[in-house]
Amino acid sequence: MNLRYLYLIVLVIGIGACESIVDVKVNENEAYLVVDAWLTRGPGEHVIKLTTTQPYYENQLPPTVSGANIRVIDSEGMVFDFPETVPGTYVYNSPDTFGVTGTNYLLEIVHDGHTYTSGTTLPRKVDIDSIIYTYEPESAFGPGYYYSEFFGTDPDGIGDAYWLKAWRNGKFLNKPEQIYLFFDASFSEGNGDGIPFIFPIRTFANPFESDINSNPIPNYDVDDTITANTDGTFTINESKVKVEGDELQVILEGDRNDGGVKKYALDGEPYFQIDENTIGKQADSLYLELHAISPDAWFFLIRLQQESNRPGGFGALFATPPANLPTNIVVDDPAIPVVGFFNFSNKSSFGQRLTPEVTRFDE
Amino acid sequence: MKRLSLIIIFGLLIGSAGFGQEKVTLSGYVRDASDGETLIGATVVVNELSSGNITNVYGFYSITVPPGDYTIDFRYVGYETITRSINLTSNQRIDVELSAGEQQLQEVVISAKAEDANVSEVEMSTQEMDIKTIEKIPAFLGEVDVIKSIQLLPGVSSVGEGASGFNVRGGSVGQNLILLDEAPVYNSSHLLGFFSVFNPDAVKDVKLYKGGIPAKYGGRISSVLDVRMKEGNNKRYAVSGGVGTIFSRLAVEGPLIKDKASFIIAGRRSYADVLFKPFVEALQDGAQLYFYDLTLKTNYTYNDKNRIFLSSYLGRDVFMFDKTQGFTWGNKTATLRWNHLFSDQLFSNVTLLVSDYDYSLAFGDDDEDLFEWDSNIISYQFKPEFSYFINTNSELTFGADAIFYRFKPAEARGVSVGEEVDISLDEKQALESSAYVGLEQKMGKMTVQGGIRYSNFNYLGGADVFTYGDTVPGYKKPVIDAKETERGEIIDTYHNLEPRLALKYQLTATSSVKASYNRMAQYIHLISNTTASNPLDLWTPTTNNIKPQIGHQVALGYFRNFKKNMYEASAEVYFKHNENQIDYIDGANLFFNETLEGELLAGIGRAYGLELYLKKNKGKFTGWISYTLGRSLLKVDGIQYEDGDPERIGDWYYTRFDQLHNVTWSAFYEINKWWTLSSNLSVISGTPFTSPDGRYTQQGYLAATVDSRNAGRVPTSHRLDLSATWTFKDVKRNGQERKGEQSLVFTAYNIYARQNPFTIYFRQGRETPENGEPYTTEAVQVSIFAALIPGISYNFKF
Repeated sequence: MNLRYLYLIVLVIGIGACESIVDVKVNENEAYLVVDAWLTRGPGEHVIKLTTTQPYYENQLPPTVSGANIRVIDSEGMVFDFPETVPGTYVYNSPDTFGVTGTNYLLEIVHDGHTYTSGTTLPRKVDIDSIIYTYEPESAFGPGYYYSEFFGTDPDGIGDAYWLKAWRNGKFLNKPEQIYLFFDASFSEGNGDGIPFIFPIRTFANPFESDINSNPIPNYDVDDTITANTDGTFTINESKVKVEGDELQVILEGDRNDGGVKKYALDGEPYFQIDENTIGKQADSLYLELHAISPDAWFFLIRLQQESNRPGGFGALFATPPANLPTNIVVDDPAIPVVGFFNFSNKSSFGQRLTPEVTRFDE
Repeated sequence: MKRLSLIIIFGLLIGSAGFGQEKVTLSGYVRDASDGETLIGATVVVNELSSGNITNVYGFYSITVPPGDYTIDFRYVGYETITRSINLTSNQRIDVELSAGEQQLQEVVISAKAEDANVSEVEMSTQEMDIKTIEKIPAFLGEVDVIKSIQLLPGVSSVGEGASGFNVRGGSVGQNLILLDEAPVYNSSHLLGFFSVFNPDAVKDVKLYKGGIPAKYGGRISSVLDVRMKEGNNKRYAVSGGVGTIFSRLAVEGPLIKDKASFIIAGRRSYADVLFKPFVEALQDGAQLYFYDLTLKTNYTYNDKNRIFLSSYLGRDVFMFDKTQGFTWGNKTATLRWNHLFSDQLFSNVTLLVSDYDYSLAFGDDDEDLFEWDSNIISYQFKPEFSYFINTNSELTFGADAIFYRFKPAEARGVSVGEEVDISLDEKQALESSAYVGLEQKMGKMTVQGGIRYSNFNYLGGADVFTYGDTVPGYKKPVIDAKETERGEIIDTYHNLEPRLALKYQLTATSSVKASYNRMAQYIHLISNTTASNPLDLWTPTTNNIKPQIGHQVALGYFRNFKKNMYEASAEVYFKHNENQIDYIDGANLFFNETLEGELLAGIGRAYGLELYLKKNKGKFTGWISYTLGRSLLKVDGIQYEDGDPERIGDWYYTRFDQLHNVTWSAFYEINKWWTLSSNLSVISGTPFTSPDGRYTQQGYLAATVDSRNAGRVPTSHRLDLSATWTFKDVKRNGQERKGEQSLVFTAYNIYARQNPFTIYFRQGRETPENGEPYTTEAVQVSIFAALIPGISYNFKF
């Protein structure tokens, strides 16, 4: 159950919680190995990355770990070597499809005299059947908008775990709250199996973004043509934007930048330049990858999301205590710490632009 | 059978002590002359013997003495003392009515007990507040609040501003027994914790037991908050009410049959939705947002020996986003009580009650796609209690208690594209029964209050029973066996003996030392892993997998009054050790989870502290200063273990509500007949938060490695609240004042707009980097109330 509803309620009485960035010293743990081994069934490059942990406030890319020997062995005894291509990146280039559904895979990393192992099973693939856009008319809560809904049916049998990755107009929705996870047809085990994915899950890929002026960007919308203002700028989503090379730059009003979209690419996804005074906008599109993952990986991602998307403001009242994420990597010496995860996912994909054929209007 | 014979033997032993000489009993009720409300804790003193008794929660007293001529004082703070000369030759019944004294008009009196009760009574670690005091305290948004008020007392705290419930001496919110006219209240908050569910217009008296808990109470290990409702004016009709920032209130009380039966009915409702309806379209479209409560009580005095009370509470919070989608929750209680006097010395009360807490959520636009979830806990309780007033030196109490629980964590269904799934969880049932006997014996300077409570808990069948295998602590335990059970079948049984002991030694007329020990058992558990408790938290019974919580507490105190009881002071130290404290594995799923028990951890807890309290009871300037030095810790395997420890043996960590220092000042100043000023100042040490000690990336997301749990501390909180009350009376043409009274209360909560830290959390910067740029990270401090919050309310009484 999502507690977000609870603090929505509190906002209504109009007492504002407040957040401020503070300077807090934290301890530094000694660096240790981080395994980032999330494979996806298919041909081509399969990548495993090794890095180390770093101090919490060190705003640099994590240190890479070179010189390890990595291989994956399947339950048939087939061995797949992952040679290091650039420091910390280990790649197996598969000429044909890598991964057989239902097969067990063992990961073996030899580094610094120690062996790190893990195992997983490639789960069955589940398809997305369609994407539909529904128009939600203007209401007391705001102007009208389209929301996307993807349809699919969870196959019979408990234990199908899913990670839905979404790209809106070709841009990956990469925020922690956009790690879309579900289990069978519902949010967690035992709450719906072998039925169509339930309603709130179907509407996952609706980011409701804003730009840096906090002006909402229509969730999904039809195509449009925008004509320049007299000063040469354009008005998009109530913010002024100007053309900067092959980008549209949002002009910040005032000095308050609440985060959000700063610029749009003029590459046709969805904006493109027609002439100096006209900008075209395509209908918005959504591309989805439905990754069937192991139940353990699902739990890892649930925890990752809990920890990386901690509730602020009033939500802090209903936060759970921060804690370490689980790992399925085992070291031959239990005194040596390690973090990270090994998973082999089986993905299906589906893309759909907002067109009249896939649009419906609620009464 | 064993229990009963124990009680009989106890009774005989005590009874035989009195056989040596002939004795007579003086008994009766003490009431308020203005409205007939019984007075709890009024003192009845036999001057010739310098001893006496106090009235019980029903206003009854009984004194047994040798025959003779006596002068008896009936006293109650703030009321005129009545003195009666009595030639006592046989048992006699005297009911008295005390009038509010002249002094009450000039002086603010904030104690509702005998003037020196804190020194002379054996009770320690208790705090009593009458509603008149609670009404004076500057309140959040000007709404008088019972639970926020008791948080100003030593040993009582909360996890932070805006959090629901309260913590007593380092105990968790779910370890408090909250009673409203004997009925347990399972969730004491409106609006997620900003307001408590008790309507001040219907509350008479509030008493909090933090330690030395008498044998008659059981079921929670931390504290008992006993809220008593008014009985209703039995002299005349009275109407009171008001309009506040949040609530509008109205209470009507009056006699049904003069001096025999009376009633009170009191209601409150938030009215923001009514006010804003014309302006907010959502409210016209079917969105609803309000909360209300209704309190009803009536009593009937059948004759000298029998009196019946019926009280009921209904409260509800409603948040609907439109006509069909939303969230509601609330408590319902009904209590029927029968006071019966078997003799002048044997008082009995039999209670029959039902208490229900439920919530429900519904989402979905149409029948094709929807989600509905109802959850509740219902308890039915039967509780006979007896007090035997043996003589002025001894009082025997005994009784029994049986509670039948029904836990329905989820009656839920989801429909997806027309296909329906039932995701309900089985109903769980349990029977908790107990019997107790307690004796208070005065022996010169020493008073002993000893007691024992025997409690028994049967977890009953009906739900599937799971057996779990062992695993490394902190991981979900695997189910190794599941079996269906029959309704009513006993699955598991637990027994506990709960000894209670309190001692008082009178050092001088104005000072005493007291000590107490209690062992308590708690069989139902509040499942909550969030910082503050919320309305969705579930209660769950002790089962074959969850053991009862056991609490031990010792406390020692020194009590001293000064200047003819104008000032009272106390110092207490306490130490608590708790067993079978519930914690949760990381990422535990608390809802719709039939194997939730496999995700719970059990550990031990301890808390200790020092409480200092200085209170000025009389004069134009009254109030108190309280200081608490406290610690509260838990030790749970699977949490806070050494890196690389394969057994994951837990080390001690501070609870989320651990506060080292807590200083509170509450002061009231009566300028004149019309104006009263009130203030609160609190300074509280920071509560803990958990920090990261490193970070790493996984699939493009930033994760943290976590340092010791609750090892960081937010900065100190402090806050000043002020209020001013203007009381005015209508004047008749002839210059006389009318009976009614009106007042305006102006409140400023957090007057210097301090942004008190609630917590500090860590997050990646606002922008999620693209194209392989590094992450930025930051620490964020959250304040719940970051501004001055004004409030105004108008109150009337006719």
